Amino acid sequence: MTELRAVLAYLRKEWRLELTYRFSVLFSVLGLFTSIATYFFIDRLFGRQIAPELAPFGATYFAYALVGNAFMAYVGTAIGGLSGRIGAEQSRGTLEILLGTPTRLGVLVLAIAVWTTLYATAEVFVFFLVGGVGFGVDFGRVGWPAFVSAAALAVLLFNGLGLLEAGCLVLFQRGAVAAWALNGLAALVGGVFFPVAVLPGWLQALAELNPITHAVRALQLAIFQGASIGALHRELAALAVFAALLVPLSLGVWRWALRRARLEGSLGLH
Amino acid sequence: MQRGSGDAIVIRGLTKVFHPIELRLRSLHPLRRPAPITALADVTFNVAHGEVVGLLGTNGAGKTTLLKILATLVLPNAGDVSVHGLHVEHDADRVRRLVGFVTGDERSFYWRLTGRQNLEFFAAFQGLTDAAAGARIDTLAATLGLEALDRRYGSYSTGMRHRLAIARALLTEPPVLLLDEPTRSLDPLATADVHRVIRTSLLAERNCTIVLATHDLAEAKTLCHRVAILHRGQLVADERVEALTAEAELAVVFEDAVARAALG
Repeated sequence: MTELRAVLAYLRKEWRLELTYRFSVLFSVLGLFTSIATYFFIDRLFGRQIAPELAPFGATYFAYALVGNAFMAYVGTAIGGLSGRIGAEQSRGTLEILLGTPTRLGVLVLAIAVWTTLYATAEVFVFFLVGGVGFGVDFGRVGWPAFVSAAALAVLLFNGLGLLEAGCLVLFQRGAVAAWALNGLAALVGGVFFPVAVLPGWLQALAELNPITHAVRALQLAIFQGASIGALHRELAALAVFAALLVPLSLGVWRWALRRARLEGSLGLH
Repeated sequence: MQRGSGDAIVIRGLTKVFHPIELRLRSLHPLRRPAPITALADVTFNVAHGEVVGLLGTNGAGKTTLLKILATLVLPNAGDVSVHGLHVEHDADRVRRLVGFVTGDERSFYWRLTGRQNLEFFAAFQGLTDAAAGARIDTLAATLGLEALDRRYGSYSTGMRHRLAIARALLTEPPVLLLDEPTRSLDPLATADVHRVIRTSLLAERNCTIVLATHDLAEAKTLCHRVAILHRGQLVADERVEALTAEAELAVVFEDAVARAALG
């Protein structure tokens, strides 16, 4: 109960902080709109054809890129967002104060993860709303069980990676650069903005080792083909294996990093 | 100022050496290997229940490190430290329920939230319910004179920020308070105000055990029963304030202790 109260207090605090920036929501929506519009006109430039590489998904390039962008909101907030918020608490000096309370650190991390996930979900909702209502993308065939399963595994997995990066941040006071590089690499070889099939053969093989590839493929197929859990069993199993490996590793690194920071006295440094 | 029997804080052979990771990465070159920083070296002393001990020392003497070890924020390399019989490393969760830490660092609040919203947030992490936190915040506001709790923290004067930091540390009414330079960068009026809060709210009304880190000899004499002087991580003097007749004598003790330590 105490833990739940702390999580709710964190969400309330973040919400209150968000409200103090009066135009932030407006500018966020505007940013999303311009991003979506860019892909819409690129799609128009090439005649709104379904390229052979997109045929398995049954989606135009615009629809494919829309889902990829929405998915990157999750990846970005999980990886850069978790460490970014821990870094912000560290630089404010509030992390040290919070670590001096009886509430376990894991509860704070959970609270941050819940907030970033909720925030990303809101962004995804806006993506789909603008894409569907504003630009006419058809979301009528979504296979919800497979979509929810893939999204849940992706959220777990990428929050784990975010925690790993947060550990690096606490240790080295550097994290954002790693997140930026990781996000860029993931986007390039993860099939986020174009199908993996357009990559050279050796990069396609490499892409199969990237959890983002499996997450994006599962989400695209669930959304545009209405794929079932059974049809996506290979992708979902790959995501589960990645999560089973990376989440415990991330937790271990995070705990170790925190103990090192308490030894070095660097909890308040950023 | 009444004091109870027994020791609230016991420190035995406390040693803390920092090997910052950034330094270590640079130290891959054997000729550029920097020496580790000894923040505390074999420090031993006790603080009785209800006693106020001033930690005096120049910058880098180890005062803040000692407070952070007591607050469980920094781990020691050697020695034993306990608060109310609980080991700061092995019983860290329980120690945190007993200790309130007041940092002189103004950053440690959310500047765009009000004072009340800040206190509500930290109260939840201290384990208080919303109702208990609300009642406690109202009590603290009256006691500490926090008249602008519903204004944004960023608009507060430095004195008000320090009082809010004290209020945060008192949310759960801990028996032990660690004050890290609570009057740093305050003008004389604001300093007198914080001293009044410490004397009335913390000592007269609550009989707290307090460890106060300060540069200010006059402040130590005004508020403390005893002073422990740290120099380059070593405890070089431990004197009762009652034994001193004038502030100047305290200054002499301080300077002598530092000079003796410098001579080795």
